[in-house]
Amino acid sequence: MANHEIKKGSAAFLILAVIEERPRHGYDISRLIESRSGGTLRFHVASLYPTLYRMEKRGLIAGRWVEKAGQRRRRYYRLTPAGKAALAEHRTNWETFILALKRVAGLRTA
Amino acid sequence: MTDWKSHLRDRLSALAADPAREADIIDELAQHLADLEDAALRRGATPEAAYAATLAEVADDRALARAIRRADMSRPRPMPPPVDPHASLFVGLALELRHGFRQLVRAPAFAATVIVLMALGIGLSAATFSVVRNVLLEPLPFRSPEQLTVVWWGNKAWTTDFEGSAPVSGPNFLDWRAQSRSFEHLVATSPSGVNLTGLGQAERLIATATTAGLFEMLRTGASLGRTFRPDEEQPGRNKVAILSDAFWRNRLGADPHVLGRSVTLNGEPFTVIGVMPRGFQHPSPWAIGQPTDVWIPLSLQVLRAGRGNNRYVVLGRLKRDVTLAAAQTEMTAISERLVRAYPAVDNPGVALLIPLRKVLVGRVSLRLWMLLGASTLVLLVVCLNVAGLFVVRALRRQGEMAIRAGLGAGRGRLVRQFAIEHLPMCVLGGGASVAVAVVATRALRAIMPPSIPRIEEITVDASILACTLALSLVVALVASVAPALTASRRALVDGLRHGGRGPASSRRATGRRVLVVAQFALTLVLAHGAALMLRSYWTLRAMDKGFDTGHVLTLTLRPSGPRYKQPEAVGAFFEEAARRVETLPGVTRAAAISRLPLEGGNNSTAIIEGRDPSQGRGPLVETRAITSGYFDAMGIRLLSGRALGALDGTPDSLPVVVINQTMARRCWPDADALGKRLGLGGGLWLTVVGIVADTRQWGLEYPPLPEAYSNHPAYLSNLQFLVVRAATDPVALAPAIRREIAKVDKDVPVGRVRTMADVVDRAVAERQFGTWLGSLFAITGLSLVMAAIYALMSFFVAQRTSEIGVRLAFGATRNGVLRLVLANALTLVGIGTAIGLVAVVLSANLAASLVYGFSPNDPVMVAAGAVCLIAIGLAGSLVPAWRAARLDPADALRAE
Repeated sequence: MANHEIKKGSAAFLILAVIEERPRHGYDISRLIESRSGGTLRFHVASLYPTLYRMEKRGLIAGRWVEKAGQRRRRYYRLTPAGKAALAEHRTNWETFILALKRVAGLRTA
Repeated sequence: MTDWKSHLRDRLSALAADPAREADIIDELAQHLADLEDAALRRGATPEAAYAATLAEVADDRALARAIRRADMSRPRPMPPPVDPHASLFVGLALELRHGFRQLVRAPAFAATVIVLMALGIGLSAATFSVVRNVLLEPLPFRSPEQLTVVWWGNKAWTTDFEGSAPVSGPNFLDWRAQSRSFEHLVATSPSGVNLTGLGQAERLIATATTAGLFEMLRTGASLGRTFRPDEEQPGRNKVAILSDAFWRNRLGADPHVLGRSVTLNGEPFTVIGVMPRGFQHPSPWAIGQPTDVWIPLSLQVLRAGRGNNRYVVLGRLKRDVTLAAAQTEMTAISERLVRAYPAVDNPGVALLIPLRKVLVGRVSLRLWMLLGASTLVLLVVCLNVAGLFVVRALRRQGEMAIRAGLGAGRGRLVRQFAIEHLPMCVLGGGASVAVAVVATRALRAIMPPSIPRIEEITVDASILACTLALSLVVALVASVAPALTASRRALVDGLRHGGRGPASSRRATGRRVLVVAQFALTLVLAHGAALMLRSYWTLRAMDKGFDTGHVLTLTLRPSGPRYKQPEAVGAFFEEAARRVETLPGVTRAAAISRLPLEGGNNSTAIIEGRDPSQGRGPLVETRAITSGYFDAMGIRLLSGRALGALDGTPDSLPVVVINQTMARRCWPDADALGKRLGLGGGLWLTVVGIVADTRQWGLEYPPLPEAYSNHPAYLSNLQFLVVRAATDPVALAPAIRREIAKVDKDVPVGRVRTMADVVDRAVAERQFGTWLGSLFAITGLSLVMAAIYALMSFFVAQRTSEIGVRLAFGATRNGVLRLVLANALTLVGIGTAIGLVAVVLSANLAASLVYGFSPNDPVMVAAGAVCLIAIGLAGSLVPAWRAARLDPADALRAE
């Protein structure tokens, strides 16, 4: 299981990446992170929603209630322009960091 | 299906302040839990197992509620309600103003800091400007003041070193008045004291003897009665007096029948013929801070004596069609005729015409302008500081501006909203500035030394208050809008990446860095100026004055009346008074003198025996009448020869004189002055019997002038100060001294009683005032830059917390982090100091005349100032640097 500290520090990055393609609701976000990480990364309700609300506060994502016929209403989150820029910066930072880790600690990546 | 909504509503409380928002959160979480339960059921779990697994997601409901509250409580500030573009402009402005007041209440510390800074910076500057405007810029309070001039007797080639000008002798004035066609009025004035008797206790009054025409020259008539007529200059008709309004009210109870009343001045009856209007004082360079109580005529008989005796201040009003230059040409020609007509008496000199306002305020103008410059520098530092505060505030609100921009607000709308939002703070700052300006002006007026002219005219009028308010509004709005302009441009680009924190961007912090660098540069100039003044002041204080200030008391006495017509009678009074005072326990020596050191004096043209008349005219000599024992009483060192004794002052004794070192060097540079003879007018030859150390006659900053002391009866009528040296505190002896003097003559009132320390204090009072005020400005500036660098470094550390965490995680030492922050601070402080040094060097000559005893470019002082400023910058950066070095890398990496 991935280190709790590393997961905590990358929560926003993961969420931004997942909703980059299209807007998603909270359950969808957590499900996709778990499935795409092969079960390594899993966000519980207690950590997912506070993170979503913080990111919404900072304007990285924007939430909107959507009600479809025959379904209960759900809150979908989409990437804002600020969020897109943040996602790009996160990607750069992590790439740089991982490269440094490879060089220093002999990290092997897939 | 489980009702997760009810479940959550029961277990999670106070999630958000807004009930609607809380309902939304419950809704969203309930939907997530329902999806989880559905998924579990689809995977084949039993309903109980699915329920249990889902419930486990919210097992710690308290932690969940806490986390959501924390995340939700700092939601962006509610934006002002959208304004209907079709609504009236005033409705929109009112809404935005109301929002601004709410913002003010939400950030009281920020608002209070801005208001206090504005009040201090702008208010103090407005007060200083009030002083400068009223003293230096406002015309004199007389009609057509530009026509008023002072006419000195001057020669720039003179060796007097006193700006080449001197008062005028009576005969010269009379000839000028008779021959000149350039003046509507030309008057001679002489400040003097008179003894008032016959109205209870004898009292010493400040009087001005004047020729006719003084009040007409100033276009001011009497409020009661009349002013002097020309015939009242004649002996026998000159026993009339005009009173000041203050004297009439305070001493005579505003007697409505005062006209024609007799008052006894100097033992003689004078008839009151007029009372001047309230607040009237005639302007004179010799009457600053000493309002006249009574004006009396200057008689022609007195004026006609002593062409070489320069003692009158001559004032004139030019005719309307005569320029100053034309009048100067005419007076120069008249002066040259007089020199040719009286070669034996006059030194080559000419009349020098100088505008009266320039003479009155010229002496203090540079000092006041420098103070205004210093207060302006403080104002600039304050403005930069306030701008820095607004920059940080704008950066922190980039998120909010991004939301507004996302909702369609254009850049102009964002800036306008920012400006209106800060308007209440700006107005409060302006109000506080006005209040500080009023209080500070009154305080300055109260503490300014009385030797500064026109203090009584200093007010804070409506125009200055209006300018103060306007300047406050402009400063605050520009300081708040400028950062908003920059922040709004980046709001759409940088967005809310990290809520204003995160990896440092040189663009983001450059504005603040520039502000801090500018503050350091300005503050160095301010501090250097204050240091120059402080060092000059202490140099003057510490210098050898030539006399002793410890335990020396002075009393002003002016025997007058028929008893003292003869100079010998005056001398006898002072000799007897000194003898009686010396019998008091604690008194070691007492003597008298005509003028105290540092307080100016009378001067005469010296004639050196044995020299060609064209070369025999010596320099202008300060003449002092003394009684025996004066040098001991005042602590003046005898360098050679002997002091004056009691036997020297008799009519049959050889007329002798003691001179000072400067006179000995100037008049006999290649010979011993002892035994030489000189004349000081009146046909008397005086033999030099002693040489004493120099004292300063006209102030500590002026070099000593040639000075001659004599106790010959011919000069004793000028005696007016008793000097008493005591073994202990001389002030405690004052009542006993007064009683002894009264025993000699109860009708001779004791005027001012001061120690010599008081006399020295008065001599440096203006410089002291300027020094302390300049130091106050400098300390204010230094405090502000220290706060500014502290705030910037704190911001810098906050911006780079993650980076610092990465550095620490990768092995950087804590000392390394400390050095990183301090190096950053040192770079800014160094740049600011370097710019400031250039400004200091370029502005050095401005302060040259205020500096005493060293060069304004003294490299040690310049270097010391730079080092001190750098030290202050480092001191302000220490705490943020220490905090950065103490960061926990894990916490730093988690920070967003």
